[in-house]
Amino acid sequence: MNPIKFHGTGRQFFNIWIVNILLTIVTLGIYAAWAHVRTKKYFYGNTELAGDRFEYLATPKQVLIGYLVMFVLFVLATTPILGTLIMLILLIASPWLIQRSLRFNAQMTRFRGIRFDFKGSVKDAFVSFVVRPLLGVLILLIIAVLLFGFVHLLDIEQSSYLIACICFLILVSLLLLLYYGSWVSKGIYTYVHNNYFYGSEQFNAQYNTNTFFKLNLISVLIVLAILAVPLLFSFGLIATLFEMDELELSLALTARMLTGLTALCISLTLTLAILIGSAYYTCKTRNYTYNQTFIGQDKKYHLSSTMVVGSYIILLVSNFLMVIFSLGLFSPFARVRLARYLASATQVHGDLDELTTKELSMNKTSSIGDAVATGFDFNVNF
Amino acid sequence: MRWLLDLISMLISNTFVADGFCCQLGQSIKYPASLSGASGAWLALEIHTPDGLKRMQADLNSIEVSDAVGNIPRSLTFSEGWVFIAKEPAALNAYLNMYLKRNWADRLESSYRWIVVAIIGTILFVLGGYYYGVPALTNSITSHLPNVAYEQTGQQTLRLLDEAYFKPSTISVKRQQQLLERFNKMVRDTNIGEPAVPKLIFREMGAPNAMALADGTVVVTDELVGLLKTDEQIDAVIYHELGHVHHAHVMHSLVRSSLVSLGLVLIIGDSSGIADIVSGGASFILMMSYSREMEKQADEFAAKQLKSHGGTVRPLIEAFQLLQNKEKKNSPKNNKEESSSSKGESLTGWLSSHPDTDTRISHILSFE
Repeated sequence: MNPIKFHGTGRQFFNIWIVNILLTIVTLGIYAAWAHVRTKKYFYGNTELAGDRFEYLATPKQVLIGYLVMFVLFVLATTPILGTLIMLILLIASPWLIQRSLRFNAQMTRFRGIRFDFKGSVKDAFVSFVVRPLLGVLILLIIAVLLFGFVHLLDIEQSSYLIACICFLILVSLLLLLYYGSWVSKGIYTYVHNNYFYGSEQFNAQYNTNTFFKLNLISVLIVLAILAVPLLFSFGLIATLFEMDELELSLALTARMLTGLTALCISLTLTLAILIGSAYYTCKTRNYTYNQTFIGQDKKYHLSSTMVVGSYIILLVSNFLMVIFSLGLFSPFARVRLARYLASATQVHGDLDELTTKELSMNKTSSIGDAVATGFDFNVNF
Repeated sequence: MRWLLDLISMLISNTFVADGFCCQLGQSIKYPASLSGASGAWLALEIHTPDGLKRMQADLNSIEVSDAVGNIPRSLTFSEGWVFIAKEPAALNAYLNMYLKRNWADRLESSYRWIVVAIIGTILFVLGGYYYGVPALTNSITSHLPNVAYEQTGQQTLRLLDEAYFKPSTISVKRQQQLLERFNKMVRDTNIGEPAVPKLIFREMGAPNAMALADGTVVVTDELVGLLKTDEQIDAVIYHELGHVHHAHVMHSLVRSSLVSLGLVLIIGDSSGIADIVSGGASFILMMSYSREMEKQADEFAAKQLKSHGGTVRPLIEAFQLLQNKEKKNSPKNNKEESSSSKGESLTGWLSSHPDTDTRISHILSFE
């Protein structure tokens, strides 16, 4: 087993980060391309697998073109008519942009003299990123029509029966929607993780929708369970306050403040619930998708991920507090901590010294197309 | 620390030796290799391939050396795509730093002086952005907004206030007509027009209050009309609100608060989703200092108008004092709650967001 190690330190990255910011300000943003490359080089170069480091190969010039195109599009997009047109074009071009971005990032990553590659087709990207999600809208419509029809069919006089029926139907359709979302995720992960190449060795990952559904469902249940407690509490509180409403003005004012307090409580709990729910989903999905990923013929190499929900949440919260109380100055430390944690939770199984592979000829990177995609940098990176 | 000793002995003997690995670009096999050089003039590479020892030598300046970023191991690419990576990267990095011209970004990043300059520069930039950049950007954005934006925002706010806080006014139509006539005359005198067209409306809300909306609507509460003793005092309060309309304060603060929260997200964002929620609270606190400045501007506007049309700023001060007395009569506990729960100048009391009434009065008196 080869654990991935991260050697970067917050202090060192802080220097890179603060110089990046200053130079980006001084050059009115142009240095951002150099900053991007240096940051990537720092994180890749400090990531070690079986004694060797990763390398990031993109040049600032490539990235700068992407940023410039994005900037021009952004400026044009603020004008009313052209803006809608640009949004439409970007939407239609998104599968192409995603595919190019994945390919660019893969080809700019080198390990032991061999570059990664991404060979997924634009057509498959179109299917997994556009067609499958859009089907959902269709399904939603069908569900709505069915529900509506069903309600009309029922006898309205039996209202309690009707409400129970509707609740049941809503529950079923929510579950259906969740299942459908899992199916979309599965499609995306399958597309991304099956088209990477390291030299001639292809990545291979088999996923099934049920596992994604299970993870999604548990995350939703976690959020609901956390929300239930203060919601019940505050309903009780508001109910008591309503009875006091007849009292004098000062009491009513206190009541208003208290409901404000419960509103604050609810929004805090909501934040907490979403944080925990999404942390659970992130950890478990990463573990699952990595553990299913094999590299090379005969599944010779095997990825694994061992993220733990509790420590990941502690990391996120402590990072967040660190960044807030330092007014952003400690964010490089936070990023290094996250990188170190993610590296420590990632392993590659199999003897890498036995791996003999050759770099296959790659689709020539048309620099502008790839750079444009980098500008948008879809973070579907593995 | 071993690499440091290596480096020192190497400097004394004027030669450099490093063990490491080589691989050829496009092929993943690693071979043991060693690198040697002298005084930074040339480097010799020995690769132990299964076919025997492979030697190559090159001038240091003709070898492709990967960028120095922090302490990441630097690789040397020789001819035929042979890449050398040292076992002890720190020693090789130190050697390369000594003999190769250093990348200027790397030089800045490893200089304490420049780091301090960068920290101070960045902080100054953020502060400058807050004190000069945001107001300037706000002005240019608000002046480019179409009139429709002002109308929509104003009407939207009124609808919300009507639902949450306001009741219809109980002031007699005759009295309303009277005040409206005075109002129309004041508007004519002040020459306020597009994008905001001043209108006066009356509402009941349980506390003496007046406020200006984005589209120029001035809302006066029944309680305020009841509390103030003379029409001139009502005029004075309305002049203050017209000051807000004249300076388009509502639109300014809307645009400004979006800019401030955008800036905050840029600074503290990216680490997790929690940032969004906290930045909302922080931007509210930051907005308070802008709002104090706006009150001052509105006071000045009112004072100037009163002086030029009525000859004295007295009514404004009288209005302040009446409102202050009224607030003092309410229990102090109540007062505290009000000021903490009110947003800028509006909902709970006309004075609640401005604790420094005496400073304001003396400032207004300077216009007398």
